[in-house]
Amino acid sequence: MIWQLDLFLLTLVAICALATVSVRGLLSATITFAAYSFLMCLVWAEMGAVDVAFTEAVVGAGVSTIFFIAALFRSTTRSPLLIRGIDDPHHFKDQGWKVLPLILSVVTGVLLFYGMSDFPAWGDPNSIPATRVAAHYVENALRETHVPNLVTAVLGDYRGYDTMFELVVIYCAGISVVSILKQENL
Amino acid sequence: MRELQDEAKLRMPWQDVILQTSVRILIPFIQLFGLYVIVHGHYSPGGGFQGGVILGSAIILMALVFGLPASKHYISENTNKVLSVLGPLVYCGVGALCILCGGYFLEYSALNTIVPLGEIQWHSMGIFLVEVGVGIGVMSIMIRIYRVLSSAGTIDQGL
Repeated sequence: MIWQLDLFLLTLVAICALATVSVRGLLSATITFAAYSFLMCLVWAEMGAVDVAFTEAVVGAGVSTIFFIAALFRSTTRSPLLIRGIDDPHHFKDQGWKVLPLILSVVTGVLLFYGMSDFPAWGDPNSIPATRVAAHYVENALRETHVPNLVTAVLGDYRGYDTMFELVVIYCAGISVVSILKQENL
Repeated sequence: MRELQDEAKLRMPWQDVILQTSVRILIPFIQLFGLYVIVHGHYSPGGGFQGGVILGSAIILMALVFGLPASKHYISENTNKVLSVLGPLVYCGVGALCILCGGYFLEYSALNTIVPLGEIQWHSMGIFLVEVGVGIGVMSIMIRIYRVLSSAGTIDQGL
C-alpha cells in the first residue's frame, strides 16, 4: 500500500462524493457517481482486493450507471432542489429542519471513526481474523478444492450458501423491478 | 432531457453508422471476455457474477445502439425469462444433487458417486457449475432490469 497514492485517490473519492451530492442536474450526478465508482475500484485494486475492484468496475461504474440513466430518461433530470427553486422564499424557511439530520450524521460519523480505532491494522498478520479462518483458507484451500484463486474457492465452496442467496437477492431485485414497472401481464 | 427524449423518438430507425459499426465489432469481444471471466474465475480475478454482468452489458449495449427490438431478436423475452429462472435453479440444483448423492447441501465431493472424477476434482468442478449458474442468472436479470427500466414497462421500445 502506497500512502501517497491512497491519499490522492481518497481525496478524489471525497471530491466526487461531494460533487454527486451537490450538483444540480441529476444526469451530472449520475456521471460523477460513475467516476466515484471507478475511483473506489482503483482504491480496492490498490489494496489488493482485485475481485472486489472488478465487481465495482463492472457493476458500480458500468451497469448501474446505465440503469440510472435509463430511469432518468423516463422521468426528469431536474432535482427537487431545482424544481422548488433555490430563490423560493420557503426554501430557506425550513432550513431549520436540516440541522437535525446534520447533527445526527456528524455524531454517527464520529462514532464510526471511534469504532474504527478497534480494527486491526491493515494487512496485520497477527490479527484475530487473519490467524483463525483466513489462515485455514490460505493453507488448505488449494489442497482441498484445487482452485488457485482463493476468492473463488471461498465464494463457491466454503461460503456457498452466501453466494447462493446473493443470487437469490439479485433475482428478487429483478422480480421486484419487473413487478413494479411491467404493464402487461407477467 | 425532454429534448433528448424527443430526439430519440425522431431517430427511431437508428442511423449512426460509426456507432453501429464499432459496436458490431465490439460485441463479440465483450461476450468472449465475459465467457473468459466466468470460466477462468478459478485462476484469475472474476467469476460468475462479474462475467454474467459483462455478458449482460453486451446485450444492453446492443439494445442501446440497435434498439430494443434488435436485442429482443437476439435474446427473446421468453428465453430471457427462462434463463433468469435457470440461473438460481442450476445453483440450487447442484446443491440438491449433492443431497441426493448422500452428501450435505453444496458438498460437491458427494457428486463423485455419479461421475468418478475424484473428490477434490469435484470440488473444483462443482464451483465451476455453480459459477455458470450465477453467470446465467445475473446476465438475464441485468438484461431484464434494463429492458423494463428503459421502456417504462412496455418492453417494446427502449431509449
